[in-house]
Amino acid sequence: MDLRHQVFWNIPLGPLVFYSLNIIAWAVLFFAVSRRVGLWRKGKGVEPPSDVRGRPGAFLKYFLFDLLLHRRFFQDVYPAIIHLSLFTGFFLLFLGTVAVAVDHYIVAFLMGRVYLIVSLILDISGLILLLGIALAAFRRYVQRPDRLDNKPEDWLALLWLALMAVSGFLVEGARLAVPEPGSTGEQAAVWMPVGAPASRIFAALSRENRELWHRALWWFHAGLGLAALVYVALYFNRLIHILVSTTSVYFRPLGYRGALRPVNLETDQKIGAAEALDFSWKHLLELDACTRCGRCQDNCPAYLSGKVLSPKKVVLDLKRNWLETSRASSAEAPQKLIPQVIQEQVIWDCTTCLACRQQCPVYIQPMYKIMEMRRHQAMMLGQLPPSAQAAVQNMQKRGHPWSGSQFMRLRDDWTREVPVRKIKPGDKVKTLLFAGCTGALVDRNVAVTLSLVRVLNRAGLEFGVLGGTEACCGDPARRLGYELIYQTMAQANIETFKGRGVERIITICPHCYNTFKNEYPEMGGNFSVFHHSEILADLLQRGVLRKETVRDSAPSKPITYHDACYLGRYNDVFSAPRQALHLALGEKPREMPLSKSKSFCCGGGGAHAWLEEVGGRRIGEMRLEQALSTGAAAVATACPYCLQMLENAAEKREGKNKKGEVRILDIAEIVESSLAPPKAPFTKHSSLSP
Amino acid sequence: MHIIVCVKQILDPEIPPARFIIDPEKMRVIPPEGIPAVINPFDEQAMEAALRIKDARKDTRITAMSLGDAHSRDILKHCLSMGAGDAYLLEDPAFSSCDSAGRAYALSMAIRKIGAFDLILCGRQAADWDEGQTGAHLAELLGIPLITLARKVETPEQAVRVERVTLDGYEIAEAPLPALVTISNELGQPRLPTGMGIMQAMRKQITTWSAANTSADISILEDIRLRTVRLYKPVRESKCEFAEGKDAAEAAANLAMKLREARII
Repeated sequence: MDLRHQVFWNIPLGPLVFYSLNIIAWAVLFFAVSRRVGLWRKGKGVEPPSDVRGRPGAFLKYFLFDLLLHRRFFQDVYPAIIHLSLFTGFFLLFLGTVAVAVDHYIVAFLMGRVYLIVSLILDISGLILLLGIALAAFRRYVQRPDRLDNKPEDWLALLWLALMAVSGFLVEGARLAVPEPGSTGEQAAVWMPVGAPASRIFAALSRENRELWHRALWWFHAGLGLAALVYVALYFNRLIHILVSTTSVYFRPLGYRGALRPVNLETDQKIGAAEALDFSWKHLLELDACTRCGRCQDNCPAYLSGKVLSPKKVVLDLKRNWLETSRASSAEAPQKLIPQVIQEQVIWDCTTCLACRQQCPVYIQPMYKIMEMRRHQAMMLGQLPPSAQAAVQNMQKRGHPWSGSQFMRLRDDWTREVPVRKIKPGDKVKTLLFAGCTGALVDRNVAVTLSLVRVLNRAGLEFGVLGGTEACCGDPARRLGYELIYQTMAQANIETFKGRGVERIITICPHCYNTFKNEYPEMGGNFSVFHHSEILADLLQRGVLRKETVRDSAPSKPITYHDACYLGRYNDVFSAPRQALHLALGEKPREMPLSKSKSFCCGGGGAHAWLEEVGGRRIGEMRLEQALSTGAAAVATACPYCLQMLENAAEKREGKNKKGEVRILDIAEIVESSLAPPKAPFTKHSSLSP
Repeated sequence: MHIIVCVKQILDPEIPPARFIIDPEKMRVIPPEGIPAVINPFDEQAMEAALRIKDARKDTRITAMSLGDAHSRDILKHCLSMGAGDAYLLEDPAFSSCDSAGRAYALSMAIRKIGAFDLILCGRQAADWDEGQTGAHLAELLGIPLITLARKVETPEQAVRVERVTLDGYEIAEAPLPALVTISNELGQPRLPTGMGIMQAMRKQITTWSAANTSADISILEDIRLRTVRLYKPVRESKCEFAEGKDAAEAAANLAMKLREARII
């Protein structure tokens, strides 16, 4: 029996009317899209040059891993299952339509067994789609998670999908019930698990009525589909994400994740974003790509600790303002983003941890928009929160952000406390150890620097330090938006490094690491950069450093490792610190539920060491709680800010004068204490035992 | 409205005390190596005061002036980037041994050369020697009224209206222009130069004058110049005495008696 599908069977004038309507609907959509493209291109900001040739490959990878396998979505499991169902159902049904068109117009292949298999797949896809709709509706309207706001477009979309799926099944059922020539009842039934039972609905009707029902349902289904195209063209809402979000993903910046738009201080007339159209077309495209899923908000440490910042709200507020601006007449002055669209405190709440971008399934970048606004506030208006202003002014005057007389050290004081080679002008050295401002000036962090130097000396590593001529890498200024100071310091540093013949830089601080590795190249400085945990892991692994058998008088405390944002999420350095700890401790550190790329910020990034946290809880305290809930009594860190933030949280928790039960230690200190024989001198911070 | 702001470059007051070294023979401070000098914070606030006047009156022009050496260019650049329109550096070996009166004299000759002005703003004192005299000497030499310790400066009509800091609050003093006002830290945090300001400052020139340029003859003040007799770091001792007693109550009583003897209570 020749089993096949007949296009337009029982639909008189089918091709003529259907294709005419299609032309109209698609034309409407096409015009809507081109108009929208025009709106994106109104963005005056300039996008940095990007890797155009790398895009197709990157997009293919995205398509395979993140769309088909939903890898990025599965950072959050239940919503991922919902979207996977919807996506699979819709995508396969769409492919089915394409297959039918190919079969009819190009090469016939939907026959016999192939036809039955495809029918089965499509029936199952419809069921998966309905499952997805049910799960989605349950989540949105029964569970009501905080991150989802509900608008009519949401239930309209679900309703439309449901109607399409159900009417599709009914069309299939009616088709089988008539019956369509070329379909057999019993044999094919098993291959059409939904269609076959559906056809029984029509069994009681006369043949003529069955044909009428089929026709009506067919036009209903087709009409609904075409109506959707027009609806989406008119409203350009979440359903268009299929097109817009994938386009946004295609054009995403590749390479360094934290990349900010380069600022040319000589030629740029305007720095940063003061109004909606100051953003580049890519930023505006991203505003359209957002489907309000809220993953960014759900992972933002500022939002979760009760601050006013919500990355989702930032994106949606910017979007609303952009669209209003585009529709307003040119006579009206565009609104200033701050304070008319976005509250000023919002942009200072951000710790630049990148969780928002990490979680977004379509790579939207809320943080970068915040950074552009910071740049405008700082560079064009000279308006920073007072504590941050003091830090910047200090960087200008003294070359580091740690001002005030509580810091009783000069830059090279620490070099007197440990044997280390200081490189003078005229000297050459290949490997530079960069202590960083915090590691040189803040007592607690100096202990880490000293620990590291002692360990590196024991390993026989050859390196030098700059001592008094070391100046800030510029990161705090850059994160505050005060680009000028950053560039001044970067240029000076690059000159100094080159002048001393530096090829490799070892940093103690992940912020210095990130800046030297990813941001100095565009200023002309290309060096091999390592974080100290990478060096320590390597030395331990090769056996250059060996863990001594620890005195078994004191049981070692269980320890957990806190991933620094600028090391982990920014640069994917997850395993080296863990390896170093494992080899030093003899056992793996405990993992927090939020670790690696899902790590929860300590609250110190984005120049937050110099910004007050306004409202809510302190982010560092939340993180410490998370750390302690693993049962650990000590936390290993790889970053001086993390160390400070967590120690502050620990002190607050226990009271300043009580001897802390919770120890916060840097990896360098832990490695040193695992090496030191009992008679070696140790600082008060280098021991794990109470 | 033409405002002249006098700024001084000083040794960083925030270096750790242990690094502050003096040479008692030469009676000079030895600056630690590699520490950049900074603008006197009170003078930076004087710039801020000038800028606040400029915020209120668009027709204001600000001139920054410093007596120092080539390194003082940095602080003048800083003033230009904050919003000063032009800058003058008074550089001459003869100026290096000046006391406050001498510096005031040099400044006054330069100001006379500049010509007309409405208001001069200085910091109340320099955070290195903390003498607080230069502003007063300058006003005297120029023959203009002086108001000190300002926390707020306004210029209604052809006068200056100042809120002066007092022990328990403030008082209001007014003077006709031209006048000189010294600024106290209660004025508030000086603003950050905007990026645009810094870029513009890079294109501006600093005019450098020597003693001859301003017809300043420092030697006329030689007889009245302050001479340093002795320069030393005071030795601080701390003694710690424990109040004794066979129990807490007795120790407390003994402590109370000692405090009474020392007339502390």
